[in-house]
Amino acid sequence: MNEATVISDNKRAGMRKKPGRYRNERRFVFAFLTPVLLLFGLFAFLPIAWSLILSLFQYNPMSDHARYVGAANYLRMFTDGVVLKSLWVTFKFVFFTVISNLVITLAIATAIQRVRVRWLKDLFRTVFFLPTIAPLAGTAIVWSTMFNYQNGLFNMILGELHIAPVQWLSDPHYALLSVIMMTLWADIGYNIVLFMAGLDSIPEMYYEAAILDGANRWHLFRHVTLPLLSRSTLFVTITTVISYFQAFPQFQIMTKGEPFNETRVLALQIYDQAFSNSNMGYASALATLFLVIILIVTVLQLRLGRTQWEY
Amino acid sequence: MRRKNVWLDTAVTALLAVAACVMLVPYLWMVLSSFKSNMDIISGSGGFWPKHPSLDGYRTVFADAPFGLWLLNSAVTSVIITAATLFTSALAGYVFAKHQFRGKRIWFLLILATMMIPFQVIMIPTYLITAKLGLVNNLAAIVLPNLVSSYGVFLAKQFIEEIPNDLLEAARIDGAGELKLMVRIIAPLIFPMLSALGIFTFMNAWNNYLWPLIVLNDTEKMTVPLALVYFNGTHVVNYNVVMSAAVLITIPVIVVFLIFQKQFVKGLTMTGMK
Amino acid sequence: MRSSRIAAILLCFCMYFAISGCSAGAGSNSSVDGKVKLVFWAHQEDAFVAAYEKQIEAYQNEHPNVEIKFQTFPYEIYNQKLKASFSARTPPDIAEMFGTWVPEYSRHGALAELPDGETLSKEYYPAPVGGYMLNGKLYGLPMEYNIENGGMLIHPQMLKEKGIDRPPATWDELVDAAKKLTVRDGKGIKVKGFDFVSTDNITFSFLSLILQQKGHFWGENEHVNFQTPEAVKAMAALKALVADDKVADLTTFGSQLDISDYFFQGNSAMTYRGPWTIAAGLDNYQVKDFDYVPVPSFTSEKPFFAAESGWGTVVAQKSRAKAEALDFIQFMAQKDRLKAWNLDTFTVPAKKEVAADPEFVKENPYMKTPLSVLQYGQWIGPIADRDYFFKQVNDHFQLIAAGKESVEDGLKTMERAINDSQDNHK
Repeated sequence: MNEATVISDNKRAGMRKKPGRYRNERRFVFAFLTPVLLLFGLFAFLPIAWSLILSLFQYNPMSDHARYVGAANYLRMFTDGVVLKSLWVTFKFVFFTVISNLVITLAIATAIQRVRVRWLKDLFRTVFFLPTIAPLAGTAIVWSTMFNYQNGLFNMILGELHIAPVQWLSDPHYALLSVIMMTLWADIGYNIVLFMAGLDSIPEMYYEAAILDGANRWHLFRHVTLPLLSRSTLFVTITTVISYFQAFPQFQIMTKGEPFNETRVLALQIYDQAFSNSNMGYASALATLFLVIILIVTVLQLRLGRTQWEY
Repeated sequence: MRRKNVWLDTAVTALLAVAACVMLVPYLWMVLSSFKSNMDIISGSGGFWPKHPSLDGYRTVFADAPFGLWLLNSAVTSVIITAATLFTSALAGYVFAKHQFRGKRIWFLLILATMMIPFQVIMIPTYLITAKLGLVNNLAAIVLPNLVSSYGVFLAKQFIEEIPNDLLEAARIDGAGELKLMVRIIAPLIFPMLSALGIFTFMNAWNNYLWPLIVLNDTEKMTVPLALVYFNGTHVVNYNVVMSAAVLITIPVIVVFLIFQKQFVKGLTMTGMK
Repeated sequence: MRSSRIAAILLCFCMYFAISGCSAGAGSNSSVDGKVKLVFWAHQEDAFVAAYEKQIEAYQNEHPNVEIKFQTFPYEIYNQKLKASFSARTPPDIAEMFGTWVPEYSRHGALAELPDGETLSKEYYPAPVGGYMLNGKLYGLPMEYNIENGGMLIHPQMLKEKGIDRPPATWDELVDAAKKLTVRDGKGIKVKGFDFVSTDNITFSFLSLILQQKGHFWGENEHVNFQTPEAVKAMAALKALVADDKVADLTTFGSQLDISDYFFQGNSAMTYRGPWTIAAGLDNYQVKDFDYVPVPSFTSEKPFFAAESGWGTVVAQKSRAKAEALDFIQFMAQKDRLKAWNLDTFTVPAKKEVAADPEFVKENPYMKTPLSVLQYGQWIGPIADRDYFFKQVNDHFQLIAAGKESVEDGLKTMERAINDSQDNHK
């Protein structure tokens, strides 16, 4: 028994096992891992490989054969005005939404942390978190009616303020902004909770020390809170960026990419090419591009985050 | 203690209260719109408050929409997905954390890699595979691709690795089989992580829109978010009907959330899942 | 061993889903009670759905051995759903399709051919049946003559209040009346004089104005030609309505509601829209204070127009009860059945004998206007990607009307974009 405790490393422990039990364990591994790996294979590994292969073909699923076209799909997207536009729209959407999300959530999280009344604090957190649990598709429908030109809420408010009404979803200047507003409302709750947890984990002594040094409120935030929150911030930023790149229901339900493709993000373009235009090959090539972009952006963020930590 | 500043604290609380009220406006809009009468809407002059409050919208929802069925579809698929994901994640996590076999590192890395893949990338082949399996327009198509979760396996492995081997060895010596070990010893130890994973798996399954949009056709087979969008398509003019449906769908979600709020928040901070 | 037993249960679980999946495909038709089961898909439009349900009931009464399962989808995603189901080889037995979509399916052999198609097709007007024909074979039966031109909705009361005692008879009168009828307030236009700004009507109006000047919009090689003086004049005339006369605006374009909805809500005095919108007014809005009258020609020529093949029904080649399915769509195409269907849905008959039946106009006086212009319609032509074509015209019309693009530049850009798309589909 004593020896067993000393040799707690798996491999050596395994060597010491009785042959019968060893076989038992192997059977266990085999019996359970196989179905799980099969499922992963069928619905994760295989689709990825298939998607890469499909991107080299011209394939309309209605016909029985696909035509090999080499890199043609990849070359085509760099001359495809709609795709280039959708790339631009995607970056614009992700950039503005992430920045405003981070600023708003950090501000709200620090504000809620200041509230000392326990129940009030919980109430605020609940209210801000509430929208995140509703299906995004439902939220998009409700917001569509709020954006209605004739009898929507937003134009009613503008009317009260004697400002000319705005076509929230069909004016090229406002459409993307409208979707951004809705997206922020729908999911700032996540990041508020994450930031609150991050703030909780900063030991009070850092603040006390800084106050003794005569730091003012802004210095506290800038030189104590922000650096000590950088781990949370990096994590929050990466997950937020990835999730906004994949934003789909709000666009598909609220604007369908209109007007003038001003809200046609890449995720919507892939879906439309695949399921409206039956261009599965081209859509797969776009999906590969999509994956590459997300990987590059994530790696860049990690790099950037690391150099900041060192500082 | 930090310096106290009563005025600033009050101002911050007041600002937060205003922001919180703004957050609640869409809910208010949804509820008020659901009580608008068909007259309010057809006249095209509907204000913020319903002029002739009525239950027209709710009446139409209950007459037109197989409401119970939608909730049932969502509930059944989400529960199966959650149960299966917890089961497969915990098991695979256990195997990867505490067992040795050939190709372990490679398999684990492969599973990790799929975490990075957005659904849009694999959506087309997944659809083609589902079609080949003959599962298009079948609730099984919602369940099957979601029985495993790479993130779940990853989380489970991380948490199970921290369980001391001695504990497992002791149980093995007492004659416990691997499965009993899993259920009796490991599951209780990683329970907080499992409940967090469960909550978010359930929520993601419940709210999923893109995949059901692709594979489901029948109104009777739809899950809640998709059905709502379909319903919206038929009642564009009478939006009081759609708002009524939205209210009815939101109420159970909010109730469930308020009950499990603590676990939600804890789970979110523990796993960082969305 | 215990672990392998559980693994077996897991496997059974997967198998269960696989099997239950196979048995429940959309095309299943054999059932326990020996009935033939047909699945029939259509788009959602209250009047259409009700009319189809009547047909189904009548057919089932005559054929007790057949059971038809009717499923409907919102229009925006209907075509996409059809494509997905045909691609997955699980199509419905019978599908309602828009004529312009049909070639994509018939070209890939996805649709069942109707027996004796050549003769059958002669019973219909050329425009509505055009899309259903391929290489002399008939792949479906049109239910309606899709027509967005020739008629408009008007509120006679509004005209009377402005001292206009009859609907406009010339284009100048139309513009004049529209100007008088437009009501503005501080925020912009409150009641539009003449609304045509919808995804269908911008393009159809543009094309018909070209045709009414005896111009053409097709060049060589399946390319469009929008550089003709007629095209420039047509686009300029439409632009003037929004930019100069200000009898309509772009505010409702892209809205979830149709321009006919705004008409019935009283926000427009005259609205250019197909007769199918009459049904919406009578059913949804319960109003009768409107009329459906001819839109005057742009010139002294006849009111020529371009038309697409509209809604009709097709049978999937993959259907396991093809004979019954074909029988059902032919059942609906019988003269009296079709007449009832056209009357219920406020659609214009695609079948000549229905249009010629005096009973038809008597039962639906609103149809007088559309029937009178049927002869001036021509097939819109070989458009490869319908949505793209219309989107180009609509997008550039908006830019032109908003003064962000000149008429000539706009026409040039949309021509190039459309012709690129035409080439891509070859």
